[in-house]
Amino acid sequence: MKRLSLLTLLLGLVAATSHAAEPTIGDFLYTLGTGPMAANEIVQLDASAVSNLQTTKDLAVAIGSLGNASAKDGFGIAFTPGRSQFESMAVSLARYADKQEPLARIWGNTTFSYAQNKLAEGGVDYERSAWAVNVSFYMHTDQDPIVAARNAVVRETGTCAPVLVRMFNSQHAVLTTGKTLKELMRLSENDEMPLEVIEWLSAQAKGQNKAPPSSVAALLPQLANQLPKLIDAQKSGAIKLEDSAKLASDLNACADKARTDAKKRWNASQATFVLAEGRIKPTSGADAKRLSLGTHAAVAIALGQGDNGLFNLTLRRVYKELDLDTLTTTPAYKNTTVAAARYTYGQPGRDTYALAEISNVKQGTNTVSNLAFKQALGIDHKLAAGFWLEFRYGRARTSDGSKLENKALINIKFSPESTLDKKN
Amino acid sequence: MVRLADPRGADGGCTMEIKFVDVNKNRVLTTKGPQVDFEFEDKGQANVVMTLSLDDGTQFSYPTGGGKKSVQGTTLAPRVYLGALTIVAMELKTFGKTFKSQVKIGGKVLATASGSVPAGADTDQSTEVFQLRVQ
Repeated sequence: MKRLSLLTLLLGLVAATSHAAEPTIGDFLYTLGTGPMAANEIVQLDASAVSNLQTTKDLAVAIGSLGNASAKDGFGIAFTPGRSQFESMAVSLARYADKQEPLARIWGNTTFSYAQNKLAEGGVDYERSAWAVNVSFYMHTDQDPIVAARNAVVRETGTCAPVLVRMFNSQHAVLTTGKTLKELMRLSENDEMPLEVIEWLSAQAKGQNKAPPSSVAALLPQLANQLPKLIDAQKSGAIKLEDSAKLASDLNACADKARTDAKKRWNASQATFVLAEGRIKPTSGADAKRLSLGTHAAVAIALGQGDNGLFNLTLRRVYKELDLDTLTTTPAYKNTTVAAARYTYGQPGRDTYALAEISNVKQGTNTVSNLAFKQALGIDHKLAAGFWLEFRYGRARTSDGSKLENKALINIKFSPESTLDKKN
Repeated sequence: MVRLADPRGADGGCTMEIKFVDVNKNRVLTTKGPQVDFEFEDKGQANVVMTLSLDDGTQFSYPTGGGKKSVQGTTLAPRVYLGALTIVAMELKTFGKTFKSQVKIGGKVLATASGSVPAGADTDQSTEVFQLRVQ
């Protein structure tokens, strides 16, 4: 309730300080994102309409939809070859986690996407299409949640070592039973046990109720006499046959916890590169021309500084982006270049962050991107998952573009993802 | 009963099959000692764990943290050992769920397992007992 009241008050503040003729507060609050991360964002297609290609069947369906202008709704595809089931392109987890193979990790985080969508403007139907290549990866191998899940199951250093010890104990229980049987069968240590006994022991290890072969059945009473010794060992914890599926489940839960814990690290060092291009053209008309929705190129780097600091750097260039308001008249294009840097200080487990940021806002250039702060200090407070209260104070361009002035702004932002894409 | 703990009575729908390769009819792999190398490798996208035990207390596990494959050695006296091999494949969310595992002892292929974690399951696993003759 307290949060809701605060939220209502702040929303009121935001509304009170906004004017229709003025830029919105959101325009001033500079985002360090890369802009469009995938093709569907350029053609304004909801992410739920994007199919993630994994198998040859997915690919066949996608090819069937390509270029289908009669499709009522838009569609999109995304393909991360390194994570697909196409063996020739896929990256194994072992290679992905190998520090000596950074290219394998980069390939495992490279996504190609394509999307197309309709737009009705001025009584004319248009078809928009776009493609994008996105490479987004953790710069330190150990901070990657996928690698963290694998490192967790390393016996010597991983957090799941106790489960591995239980697995070894379970194997030891089966082998002790087998060794006892071998003695009862009066086989020497150089003798082989028959396959039927080996298979019966395997069934025991797997929890299968397999009838013992005759050679074992005859010895079961004697084997039972040996049980007290085994049970003593079981009580001491040195030997314990456990449900193998339960052990696998526990191991998986432990590895998954390591993965989600790694995802929670707020200042992991990451790099993102995006290259994308969009087009638009009328769906009918022989002389219909394709117009550019822009060529987008972006680089975003996040560098963690110990536990408390994060340095962000974003460079973004949009070339020849069509102003959709001019679509039905004389098409007008704009070019945008954005460079920004931010340092954020925070403490693990706390929801409040202090930050300082600068951008390349040019005095006198009247574009939306130049409404951002030139320099600012600020505080971000996480109200709830993906819900942020932002405060900024700094130098920003005046609305007429004639000079710089001091501004203080407060905003509430819904941001389900961090500034950098985390697909892991 | 021989069992030391309550079994589930089934494999829980697991589909993994560990196939033995360079073994004789009694599932015995023969190698030269006393120095014996154990090599583990998986080329799939699932998070794969392998544990191997011998009846003398020797234990190896995969992964070991470095490199694509893990080679671990030990010294074994000549005799026939009982061994147990467990392979667990865990689906790694957005990364993948395939496994293509191989275990070699002394350069010979003891066993392989390949496939995918079944749809609707988080893990697939199997354990098999084998014998190792060290000459």
